[in-house]
Amino acid sequence: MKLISKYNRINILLIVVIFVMSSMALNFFVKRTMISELDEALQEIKDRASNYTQKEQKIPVNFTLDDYHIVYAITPNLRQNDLYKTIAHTNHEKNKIQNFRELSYTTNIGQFTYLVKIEKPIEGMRQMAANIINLSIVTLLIVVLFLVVVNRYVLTRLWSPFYKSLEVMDRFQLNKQNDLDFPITSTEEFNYMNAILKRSTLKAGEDYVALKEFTENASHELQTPLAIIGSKLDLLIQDENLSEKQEEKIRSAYTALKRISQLNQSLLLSAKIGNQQFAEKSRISFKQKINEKLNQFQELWEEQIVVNANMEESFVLMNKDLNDTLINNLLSNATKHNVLNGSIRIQLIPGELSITNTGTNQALDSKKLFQRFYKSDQNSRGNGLGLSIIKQICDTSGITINYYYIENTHKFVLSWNYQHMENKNTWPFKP
Amino acid sequence: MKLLIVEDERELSSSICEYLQVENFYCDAAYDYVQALEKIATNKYDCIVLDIMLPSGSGLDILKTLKLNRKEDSVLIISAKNSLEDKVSGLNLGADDYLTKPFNLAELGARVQAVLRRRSFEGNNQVIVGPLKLDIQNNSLMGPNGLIELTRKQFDLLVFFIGNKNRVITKETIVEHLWGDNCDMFDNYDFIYTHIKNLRKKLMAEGCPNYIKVIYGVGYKFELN
Repeated sequence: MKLISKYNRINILLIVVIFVMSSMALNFFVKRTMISELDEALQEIKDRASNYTQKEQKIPVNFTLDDYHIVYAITPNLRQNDLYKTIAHTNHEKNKIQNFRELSYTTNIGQFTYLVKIEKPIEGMRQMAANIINLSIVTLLIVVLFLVVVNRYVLTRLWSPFYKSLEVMDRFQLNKQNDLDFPITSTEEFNYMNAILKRSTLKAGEDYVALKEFTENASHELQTPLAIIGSKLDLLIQDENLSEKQEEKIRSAYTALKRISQLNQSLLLSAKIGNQQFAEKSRISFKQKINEKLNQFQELWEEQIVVNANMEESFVLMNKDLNDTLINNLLSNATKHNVLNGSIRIQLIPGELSITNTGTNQALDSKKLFQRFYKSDQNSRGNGLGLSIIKQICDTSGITINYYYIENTHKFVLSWNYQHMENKNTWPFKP
Repeated sequence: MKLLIVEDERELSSSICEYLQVENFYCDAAYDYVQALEKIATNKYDCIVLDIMLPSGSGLDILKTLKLNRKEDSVLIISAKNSLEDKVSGLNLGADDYLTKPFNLAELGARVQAVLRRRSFEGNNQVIVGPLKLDIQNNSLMGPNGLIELTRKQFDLLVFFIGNKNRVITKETIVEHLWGDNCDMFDNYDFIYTHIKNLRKKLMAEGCPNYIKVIYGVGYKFELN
């Protein structure tokens, strides 16, 4: 829910509650005032009637045109207090109930005690209440409408620097050294926020550069000794007097050197992908790229593995180098873990690539599959980084990867959203 | 041919020199930025093998100085910095080739040969080795008895051998050169044997001696006296 909606909801709820309460209070006080006015009037009538009865010692004549009634009735009890109460009479002519205010008291006229009741109709009370409620509702609606409009306008204006800052942050990329241009506002809080954002991004940028430099320097430090070892071995085999045993040892050293070099390369690549150093993306024809690889390796597979490709044209939006590594690792994985005279089946349709290879009769652990240094077979020649790099590339390229095991075959399915890719006419390769 | 090896790691520098000096190459070594600039200013080299990360400066700056002074020395960059930007900026600055550490000396040898070839023949890429005449541009080979038909891979293999003649090259190095970095997915490199056998057969059929010697368990050697 948007901040403004949230704010409006609370605001309007509060206003409604206040209005209802104030209307009720208003209704109550107005009624009380009217009743007390009526009571005063009744008291006045009583005074006039008492004066009359005291002077004349007889019951006054009741005029029908008066807006009040006085009723005298003989009563045995003499009461000290005046009694006010509201009573209802049914008016048979108009067929409705009418409220009256009644003042009753006892008085002595002659030798008799009379109970005197003075009644005055409570007029316009109901009308008044209805008016108050109507007025309240109308005012309430106007106020709420006004508030919503004003809030929307004012809040939108007040919060606009916030949204601008958000936009700026959204454009922020760690791997691109760009100065963030936050809006300058007159709101202290936003300026404070912008200052913090600027400081944090700057710090993150510096850390990132330091990390990048560290990775590069570390790799440089490692590559140079590796290069020296390699070069010394290259020179060593030039010696014509090497014995077979010595040559065998040199071979082993070569193999180990190759492994450690590849491990170093893979770790470096993994770190680079993690650091988003392959952000530049382009539209790539998967079919074309896979075909290039198949041609490159065809004669190497020839004697060991049957490779079968069924491919439709399919595009993907991703980094060129990562695409290359992805295809390499997938094919390499399918080859390394294959069996003698096995097969690799490649199937490509728009938005989906699946690579199936024959292999061990045991499914891989789907939970650990993409973890670094996971090895299904501890004696495997691989360094256990191939699949984790595949997963990393998929994650950064918006590709989903799934693994299936079906009767001695291992299948990796890559799927991605290709809909938005197909509408471009700029692609030079005609499918 | 005069080469300058700009490499701060003395052990690596000496290996490179030792490997390349087999032929008519004379190798000079510079171990830091200042030394490299001095040597470049006072000598003329056919090819400079240049490391980017040097103790007192960047190899790229040396490259800039070279180009600024219109020196025509060929430059081959060797560096552990295999990030794409470095490769692109190196080549943009006018380097002739780029090789990532760690590399095989045989690969470096072949690259240096290629760079020198491009430079000295200026497009007319003819290499004459004994009775063999290779046209690099048209991928054709003339033997003592006329044209020898080679497949693309066989031709590349021959060029690689000639670039490293009289030196032992491992099977792995050959496979890596011909098929790229990712051949480690294959268990055995026996298929290389077929290629070499066929190349040897074709050369011998055209009257060449057996140039390609098997160094058992290690690799091959293209022997030419």
